[in-house]
Amino acid sequence: MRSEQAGPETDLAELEAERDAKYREIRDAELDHRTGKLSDEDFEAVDRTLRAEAVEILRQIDRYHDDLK
Amino acid sequence: MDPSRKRAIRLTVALTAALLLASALVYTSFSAGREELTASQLLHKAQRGQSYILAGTVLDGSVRHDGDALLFRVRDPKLRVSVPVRYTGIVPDPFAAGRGVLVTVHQQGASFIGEQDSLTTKCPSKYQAASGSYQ
Amino acid sequence: MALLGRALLILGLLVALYGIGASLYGAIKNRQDFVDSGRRSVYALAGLMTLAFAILEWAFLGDKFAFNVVASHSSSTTPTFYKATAAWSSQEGSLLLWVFLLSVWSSVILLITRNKVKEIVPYATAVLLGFATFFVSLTIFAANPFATSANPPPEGAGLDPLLLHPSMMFHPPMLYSGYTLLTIPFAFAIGALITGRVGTEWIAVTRRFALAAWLFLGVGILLGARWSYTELGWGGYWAWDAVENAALMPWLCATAFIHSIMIQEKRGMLKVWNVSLILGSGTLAILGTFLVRSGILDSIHAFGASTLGIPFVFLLAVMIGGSIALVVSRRDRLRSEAQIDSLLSREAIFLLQNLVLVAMVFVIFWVTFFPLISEAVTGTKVSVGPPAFRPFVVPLALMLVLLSGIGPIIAWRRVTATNLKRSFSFPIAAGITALIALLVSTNADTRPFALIMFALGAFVVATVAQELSRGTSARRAMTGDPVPLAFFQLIRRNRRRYGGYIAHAGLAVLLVGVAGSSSFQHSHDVSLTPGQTTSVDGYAIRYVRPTEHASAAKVSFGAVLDVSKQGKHVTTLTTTRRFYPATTDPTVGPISVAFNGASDSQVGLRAGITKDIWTVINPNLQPLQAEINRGDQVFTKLMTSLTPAEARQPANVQFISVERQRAISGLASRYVSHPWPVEFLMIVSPLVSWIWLGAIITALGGLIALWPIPVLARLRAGAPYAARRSAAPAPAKP
Repeated sequence: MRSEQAGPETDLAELEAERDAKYREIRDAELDHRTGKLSDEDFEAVDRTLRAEAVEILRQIDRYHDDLK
Repeated sequence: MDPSRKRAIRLTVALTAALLLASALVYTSFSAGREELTASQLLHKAQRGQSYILAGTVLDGSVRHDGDALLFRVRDPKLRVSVPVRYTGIVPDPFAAGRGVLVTVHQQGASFIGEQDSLTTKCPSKYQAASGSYQ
Repeated sequence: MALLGRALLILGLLVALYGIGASLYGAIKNRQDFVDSGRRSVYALAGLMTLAFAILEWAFLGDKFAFNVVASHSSSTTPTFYKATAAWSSQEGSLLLWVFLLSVWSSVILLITRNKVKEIVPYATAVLLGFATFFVSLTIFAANPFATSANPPPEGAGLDPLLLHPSMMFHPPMLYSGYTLLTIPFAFAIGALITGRVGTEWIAVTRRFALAAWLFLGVGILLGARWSYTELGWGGYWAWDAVENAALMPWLCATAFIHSIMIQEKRGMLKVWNVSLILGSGTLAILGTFLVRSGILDSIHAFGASTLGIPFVFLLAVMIGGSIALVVSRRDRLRSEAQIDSLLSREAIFLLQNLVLVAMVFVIFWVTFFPLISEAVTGTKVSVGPPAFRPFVVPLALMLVLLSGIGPIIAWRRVTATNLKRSFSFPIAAGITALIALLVSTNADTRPFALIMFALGAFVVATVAQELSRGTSARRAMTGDPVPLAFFQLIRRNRRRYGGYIAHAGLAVLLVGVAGSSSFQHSHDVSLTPGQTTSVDGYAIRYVRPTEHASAAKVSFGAVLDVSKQGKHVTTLTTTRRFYPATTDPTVGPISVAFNGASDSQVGLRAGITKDIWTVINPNLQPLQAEINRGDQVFTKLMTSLTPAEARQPANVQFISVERQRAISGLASRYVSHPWPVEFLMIVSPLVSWIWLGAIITALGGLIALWPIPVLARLRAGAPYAARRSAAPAPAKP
């Protein structure tokens, strides 16, 4: 999930909020898997997607910090 | 089916459902609705033998007990007019001078007879200005 | 003191106006110091309003009848608890309570967000202070709680006896807390729209406030229902009265909101929907506050009778117009980032649930306002009573319960056939089992809708039980903890999820109670003399003996009833009807005055897990009428035989008062010595207790979802976060 305003003014706080929400989603998916709502294949697919999205957000956070320097 | 068509279909279904609901509501309101008459309207329209729903506030100082009947006057919200009612039956707890009431009445002579157990009081909205007297 | 109170209000108004200016200036000119000043003015306002409210309470608790509100709503004989709560039974006091609560919650949110969402906060502050300005202005110019009179009466008018009930006293603060808490996400939504920052942040910071609003509002509504059932003598808990609907509508909207924000948090979807929902909830909260004090629903013509109607309409117009304008102007930024993949996904279920809730709000809104609309259009008021709601609300409620069972057991994004089978087998079996059991052992088939609700209720409870059980097992598999510990830790570490599931279970129980009590009630209106028995729903109810009590404050006539079933004693009920003197009517005779004022019922209630037995007495006073008239004549003659000077002498006043009381007591005692047939309304209702039980469970679920207090959690979680910032994604603390 990308943040609204791409570019150098991307707000750090907004990104961090998205990151936290993404972490929660990953946990929720794990719990869904463990309680049988997601099959193994479904879980792997969802987990992969979510982690990729999380990494993208973390990259944007790092980019933000780099832009500051 | 491509996504935009799917969305269009869902939107159409949703809007149709909304329209059906709205129509059902409007129909029910107008067909099941009962006319509530104010004191002035009642005096104007009342015909012998017909029942009407009288709505208004209980006039201050007009409440009396006469045997097992309750006598009170219902005042018009706008005009300085009130209608006498003689009612028998259950009296709701919030009933008091100044409260909003609904009662089914028919005319008898100069007075109106409230039908048995037809008196209801509106939930007392505690913050209204005392509207039971003529201001 | 009154002067001090009024000064505090005026100072509060100035502080609020300053705060609006400082916040907006700080936002536009990018001056953090002005923004901080604006925030501090909210804190200052909270302090001022607390002081003002404390003064009002002091006036009530101290019987300061110089204060008009105290004189008209309290008396020296009012119990202390009710003196304290009488403060908000008045128009003026309730407005002060509203703005006091608003300023306190606003201070909390601004304290929490002092280093976050920095672009949004100034505008949110301005909006919140805008509301404060409105309400404080009302207390200064239109409904002054500190108005005094030069000739204070020696005694107050006392609290309306109907309000001498704990539920009725907590009901307004709960409702107002709900309303004022809803203004917080409203204000932040406005700020988010103005600044264009319509992502997750404004939701993340105000989510708990929306949830708290939902909780308080729900509790307030239930308290009102309980009061209606146990205090008012009609035997029901919900009448679809306008003032009830006024509180229910924002609650339904808030329920929709707390679900749909989850979709925005996870998928970035429904942004327009979410802002519209919260703007709608906030507006409905103000509408609710307005409806109960403007007289508008009595009649469009009564509207002008209260001075508050027009300012509220103005505020509502600004809120509605402003909201629509903002949403339309920002619609580009509010575009969805994703689509609903499949109708068999949690997103789709949430959306359906939202639509059902909004449909309910629409129905309630229409039927509540229809009399006004028809009056404006045709000149006569056409009202649709409670029966009009049922064809719409019942199916919608059934759908809601069904969805609340499905939602928890399907996953986000998509669900497959094997998932469906694994997850749905047990709950569906539970529902069908309940259905069959009820069909076989009861007459539930005579009320199909209630039967469906019972089956769906079983379905939902089974869903929640399954989720709790599977979650606990999963946790045990990971940690090896014993069952109770695993269960506790499961809920503790996933509070939003399981709090929500518990709330769903509570709602199911509540609606099962509603279905049972409204569909299978036995009601019986009967006239009995002492010793006579009647029967209701298999219970034999015998009128044992009459009771009476007379005092200067009231005269009460009652009955003791014995309830038995198949010969076995079940319970003893007592019910009374109290008659209060008509002190404000000078035309009533000196004895009649004791019997001609307001009256209320003391309900005889025996609540049970399966059935409630409820009764009120309606004694008619006709057999006493002749004696009352004679008493009037005697005392009037006595009092007119005195000269004005004699009438003022304390000895004479005392004598007349004592004799009058003796006469009234004597009359009242005839009710017991020579009893006559009196009317009873008796109701046997199944499952009413499930409503209160369900409400408690729902509130508990809401509390769990709401926990922990954000500030503390943030402090605790701070250190580990910093360490984890650049690591690979790992599950974060809740």
